[in-house]
Amino acid sequence: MRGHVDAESLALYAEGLLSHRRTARVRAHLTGCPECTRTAAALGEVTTRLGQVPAPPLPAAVATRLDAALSAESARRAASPAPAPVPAGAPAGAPAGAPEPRPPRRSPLWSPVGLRVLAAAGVTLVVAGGIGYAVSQSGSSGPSSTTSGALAPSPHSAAAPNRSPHGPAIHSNFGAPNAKPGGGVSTVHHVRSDTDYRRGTLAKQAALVAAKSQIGAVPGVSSLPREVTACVSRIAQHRPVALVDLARYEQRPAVVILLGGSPGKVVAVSYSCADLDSAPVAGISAPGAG
Amino acid sequence: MAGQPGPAVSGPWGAQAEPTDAELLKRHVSGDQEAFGILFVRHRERLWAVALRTLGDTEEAADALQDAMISAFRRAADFRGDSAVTTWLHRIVVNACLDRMRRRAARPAASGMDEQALDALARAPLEDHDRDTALDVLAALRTLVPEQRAALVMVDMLGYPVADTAEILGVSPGTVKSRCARGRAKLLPQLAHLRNQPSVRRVSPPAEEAGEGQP
Repeated sequence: MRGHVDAESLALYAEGLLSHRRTARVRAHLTGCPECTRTAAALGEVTTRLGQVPAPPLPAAVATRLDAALSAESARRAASPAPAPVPAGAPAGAPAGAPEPRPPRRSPLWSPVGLRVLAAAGVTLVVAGGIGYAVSQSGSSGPSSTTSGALAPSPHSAAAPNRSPHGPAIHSNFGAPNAKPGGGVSTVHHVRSDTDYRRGTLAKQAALVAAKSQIGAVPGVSSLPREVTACVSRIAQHRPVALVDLARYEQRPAVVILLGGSPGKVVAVSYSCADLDSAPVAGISAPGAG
Repeated sequence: MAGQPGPAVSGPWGAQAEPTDAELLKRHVSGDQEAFGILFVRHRERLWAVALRTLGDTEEAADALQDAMISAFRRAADFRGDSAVTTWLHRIVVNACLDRMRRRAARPAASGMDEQALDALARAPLEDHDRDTALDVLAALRTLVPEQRAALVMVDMLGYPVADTAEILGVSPGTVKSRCARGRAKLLPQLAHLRNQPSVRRVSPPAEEAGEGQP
């Protein structure tokens, strides 16, 4: 065999998918070619690497949404006199190719439920798919309050016994407006996300926590320790505070503060209010830019 | 499987053995309001992993899983028991994912990071380089065509047997192997820079790799 064996052939060889003739040629080549032997080993390592990525747990927000959709679907079926419309000849497990009519009240994953609370603090936090988001001074089009019913309350909530009929387990995760007056941190997300923030990913991690806290997927904190309140005020100055997360930074206890304004900013401090890290927050946009 | 006599559950839940998947599905078809929810909750963690890793995007994965769930809910009467209920559920989820991937193939690839990965990785007790490795792997996966990606996610990443994967994808085991092989070959150059790094080990003495000369 002239030259080397390409990676694809080596991969197919490893799976026993080559013809007898090519199998024999590759095998012969491998015995005398350290480079191709290394490539073959590296292909095995690809499998190893793939297997090492931790499996993602189902986020609470998605579970809640699925429960809601299922409840709505169950209610729909219960209400309709005839069995649910099923395409007659569709084979079981046929490609879900032609998606069926969507459930009536489909809420976006990062539903803006609760944004009104942030708006009250002068901050609009807009989660725009994935990890990008925008923080801006509010003042114009706030999120519509009609979205607050998006969780499709239903009597059939056996799968989500904790969900109240009106959906707002979410609201309990927001710091109540009765937090320290004058501290500048009232009506703000106070959460304990258990995140270990890291240098270099601070902004992204904060964005993620902010997004999750909007939908109640992060444990809330009813009141902040006094020294934290003071620290947040000092850090915030006159900027709106969007999120305070009692978490860790590089494995040490830390407070992570997400500030609105233009540009937004995330600051990590120790519990003694010593500055640990800060980063600008990407994706700042004008209100209403969507 | 479908003929398997499931426990006759008539009394309170706790008093009986857990109903089988097929039993739950049958009860759902006959009008039971809760059976499908119990069935779906039983499997949704794994279905989520498949959807998220295949699509690489939390929002899309949630959409796909929800579509699939509703589809399964409505099509349950079509399930004939020629495969396991889990296979049937997986097939609906994977097909929903593949549909989405094909539809979005026409559009420019979304460049968002896999936030679930980021989140899970932020919590996982991993060394920095392991975290980076995992993110690199996920990014590389995005470059594969949908069919390769689905096969590789199921077999290499989530550990499904080739035979099960073939049944779920509705192709032969040989096709699954071929898709995996071609996918690995495509990932190889993208992951080559990881070769000299230690692989993920939860408790690893760092000294071992002291001599590495990674550029």
